[in-house]
Amino acid sequence: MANRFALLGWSLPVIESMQKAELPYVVVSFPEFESYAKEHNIPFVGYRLDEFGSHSNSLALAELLRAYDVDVAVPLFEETVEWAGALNSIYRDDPRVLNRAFLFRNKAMMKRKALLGGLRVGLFEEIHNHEQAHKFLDRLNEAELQLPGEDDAWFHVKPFASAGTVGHRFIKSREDVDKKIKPADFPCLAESHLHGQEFSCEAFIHKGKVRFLNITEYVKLGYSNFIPAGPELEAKRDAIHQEIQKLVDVFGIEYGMIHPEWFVTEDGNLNFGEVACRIPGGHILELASKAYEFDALLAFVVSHDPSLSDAELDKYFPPKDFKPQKYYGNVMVFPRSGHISRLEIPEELKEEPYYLDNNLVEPLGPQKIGGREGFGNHFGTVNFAGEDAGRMRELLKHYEDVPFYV
Amino acid sequence: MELTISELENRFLDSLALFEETPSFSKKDKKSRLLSQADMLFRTPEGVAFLYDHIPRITEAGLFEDSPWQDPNHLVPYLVGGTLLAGYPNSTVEALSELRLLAIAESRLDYPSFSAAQARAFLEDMLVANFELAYEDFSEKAWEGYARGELEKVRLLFNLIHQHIPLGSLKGKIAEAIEVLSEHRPIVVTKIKRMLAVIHKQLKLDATHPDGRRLLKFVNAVYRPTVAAEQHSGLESYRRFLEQLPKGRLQEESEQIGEQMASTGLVSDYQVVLLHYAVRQYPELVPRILHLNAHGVAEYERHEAFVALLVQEFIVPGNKQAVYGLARVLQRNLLSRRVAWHAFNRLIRVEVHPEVAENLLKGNLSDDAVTPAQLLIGGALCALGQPLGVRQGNNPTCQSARGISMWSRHAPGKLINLLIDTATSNNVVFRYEGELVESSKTGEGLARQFDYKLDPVSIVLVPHLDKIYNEMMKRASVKHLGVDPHISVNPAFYGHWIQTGFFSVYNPVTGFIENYEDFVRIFYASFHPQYNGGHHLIYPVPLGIFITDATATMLGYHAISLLRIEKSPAGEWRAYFFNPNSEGRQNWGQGIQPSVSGNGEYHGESSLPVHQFASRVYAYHYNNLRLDGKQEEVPTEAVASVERLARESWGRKYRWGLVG
Repeated sequence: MANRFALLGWSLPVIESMQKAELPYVVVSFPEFESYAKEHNIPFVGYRLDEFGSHSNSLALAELLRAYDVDVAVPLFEETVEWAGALNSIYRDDPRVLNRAFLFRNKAMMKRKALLGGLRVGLFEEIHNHEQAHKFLDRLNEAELQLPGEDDAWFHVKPFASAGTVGHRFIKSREDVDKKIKPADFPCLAESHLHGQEFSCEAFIHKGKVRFLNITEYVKLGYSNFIPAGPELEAKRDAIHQEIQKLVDVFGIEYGMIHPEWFVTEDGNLNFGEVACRIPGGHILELASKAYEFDALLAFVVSHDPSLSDAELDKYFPPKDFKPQKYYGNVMVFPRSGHISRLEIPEELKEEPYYLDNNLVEPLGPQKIGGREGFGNHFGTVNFAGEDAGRMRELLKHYEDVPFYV
Repeated sequence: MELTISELENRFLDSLALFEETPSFSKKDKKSRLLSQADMLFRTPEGVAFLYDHIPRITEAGLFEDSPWQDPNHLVPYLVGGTLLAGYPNSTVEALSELRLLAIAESRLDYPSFSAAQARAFLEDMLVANFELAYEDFSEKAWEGYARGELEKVRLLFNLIHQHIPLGSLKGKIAEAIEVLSEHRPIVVTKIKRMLAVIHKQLKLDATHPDGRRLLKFVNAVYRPTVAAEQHSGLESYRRFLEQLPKGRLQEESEQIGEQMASTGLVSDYQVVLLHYAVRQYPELVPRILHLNAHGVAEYERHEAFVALLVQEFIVPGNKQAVYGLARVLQRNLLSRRVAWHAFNRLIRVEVHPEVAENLLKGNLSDDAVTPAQLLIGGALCALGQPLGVRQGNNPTCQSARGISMWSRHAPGKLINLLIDTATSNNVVFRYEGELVESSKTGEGLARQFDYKLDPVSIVLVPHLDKIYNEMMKRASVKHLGVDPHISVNPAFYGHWIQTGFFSVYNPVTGFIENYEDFVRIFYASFHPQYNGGHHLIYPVPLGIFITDATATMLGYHAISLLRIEKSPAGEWRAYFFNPNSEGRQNWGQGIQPSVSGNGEYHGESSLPVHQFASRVYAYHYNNLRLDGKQEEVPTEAVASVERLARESWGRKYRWGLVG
């Protein structure tokens, strides 16, 4: 067992899990959190975990953590992935751990690595301005053998290092290139549209092997998902497992949890979207915890510990043949644009047997809601549980559109 | 398919256990989930009973900690109703908090700083202060804007409370509340009538018991104003009874019914029937039905035909309070003022704009049918008859209410004229420093969701006045940078009755409280007969006051009018004022509690000892030509006592300048 885990980033649910399990830890986050941590007896090291770069001094941070006898670093958020990589490089005496962390943070590098390893990816390029975006579209149309008058091929642009869908633009025509891509989005990765149903996985890796695989079914990306995935996706579990092991091998990942997104085509082929190695959004680990009856946040943390034996690790996971009894799903609630003044839980929800609970907050007085960027700023989550995947899908879809704020 | 109550209970208990176990920093999220489970239980009587059973454990788990509900000592009975209607999750926490207080009252939960007797008193006060909500069945149309589940939660909560605190045990407190409300003579008496309806239906009152007697006075005024009305209940049967009554008996009947109205301010359906009958058959009895004195009788005799017209065309059971308004209008001799006479004659002939008509009907909370024109004319009689009965309801429109009240007293012609314009065109035009301000062309006023529980004149005028006032304030703040906008807006909005001097203690440029001593001195020297040469006020003085709560903490700003400073019957100098947001007694902290009766107040006035009143004022208009240095003679101790009250209340929220 690790002497002590350094949790990079501020996450109350993870802290809670660590306290409950009585595992040794210290939180590393911005000094602003220090007084709160002190008040609640949370071991804490204040550090400015700004964007990692050549100026970043991970040795200084390691020095600060030496007092706590830390030997495993765990990244909780996108921005702390390189910091954890740097620390773990020191702890494991392996400089390549940091390089691997970069893989997760640079989407172009990630794609190149995947391509090299034989994963299915789209046509992609790094682009630096609108002109290059138009050129990319020219070449993509050409490759798609487009005839004059036909629609443009679809592609996506994503900033190299943003979490979730922040800065993600879906380009469906030449007009979109100038209209949707903002000057501030450059440089970014352009990639042709991958076909298939999008879903995500959470693969807990230990000693380079997938110890536990969770498949999450998205009903609507960023709004609603449920676990385990419905029977259609679960039927492909073996293929997915194999493809993930391939990803793990190609990337050389030894410890931790990866959160790749895939597109599965009608004929069962898996297209690789992207991969992260932090806690996924959408309260996915909470749903996984409920469905598989374990503490997925804790499992996430201990997966980073190289010193655990397989038997020790098993204690933190559900039995290998575990079959979930129910589907657990949630809808993230975003107020619609316009004026809102109060929270109203719809009657039909309260009458719904699959409805579990919610943690929606009341608006602080009447306010105007603007658009949204990424998946931030939801007003809370509504949780569901039930036996039928079809019904779950239907419900989640339905409640995406039900107004909770009036 | 719905989950059974025991499944919900189990889920709640699981959630409660998680909440209990979770470390301090994660309580918030667990609390949200727990509340969402409690909300599910608030849907059935069994669920509410279950929550009440478990409320000691819920309280001890810390549900109320770090929230405004933490300390019961800081809760205000009057605010409970508003919070219960404010939507989830606050409505659920509030409901749980009432269950907690009930458990304390019944000694099921020990609370060191709040005794069982305190909890019981709180709940009783809460039931009386929120009477309409506590005994409401939510069947009326007005409730359609609320979520069904939220209303059901409120209903189930009160049902449980009623089981423990029966209506009968509240008689004394209800009687007191009704007496205060009645003394204050609001135009809109829906609240009193709702209370009386519930009591009439649910309680057997005993005239030999003092509280029973107090309540009977009001119940009788509405439901059986005379012995004959009781014997011939039902309007049709009463009408037939009247027709065979000899004149002598009719006169007695008229006197009795008139007295009931005069002593309570309440009009019964029987009175409307009697009035209609008398107007046709015995016009000479009308003054008795309206309880007029000699001035009123003379006025009636002069305008008998017009009064008959008003009664027959415009007064029906649906707007019966107009009878009281009519009586007051005659008492004021308003119809003998040439301007008011012509204006009123035009008003009764207007064609009401469809949108205005719709709004008027929204304000009709009675079950009786009434036309927009009847509402308008009946409302005009009330506003003119009871200038101090105007209220702002739940709207932030104190300025508009104050204006209507002032015009009714001092410029009835202007008020009626404004009413004609607005009712016909759904628009109104004012002048501000040479420019026109038109309500239909300006944006929003201060009121967002307009509360229509108002008198008809307010329903017609306030939406427009609110916009006009807001627009004037906007223009003033741009045009006169760094100068208090009220200086130019008040005279433009209210009219030439506003004095030309203006004094505010707040310096908008520095944000400091400045020249406070001078402020108090000039206040006394201008308005207090002891220091202004023995004069009474000529016009009401619009004032800005700081509203403070029971702990003397500042809550916000408010507009009221000072009407007079006079010696009370007990020989104390008191300030008598009009507060459009007053339902009666309030508590402003530091022992400052405006009274509405018993200290020489006229109906509709509030009053306070002068120094207490002065301590809450932050701005006023005054006549700078009449000061003549009188402010120097105001004794320093008087000024100091005002300043002390000010500094220790709202003054805590401000920085005070050196020349404070």
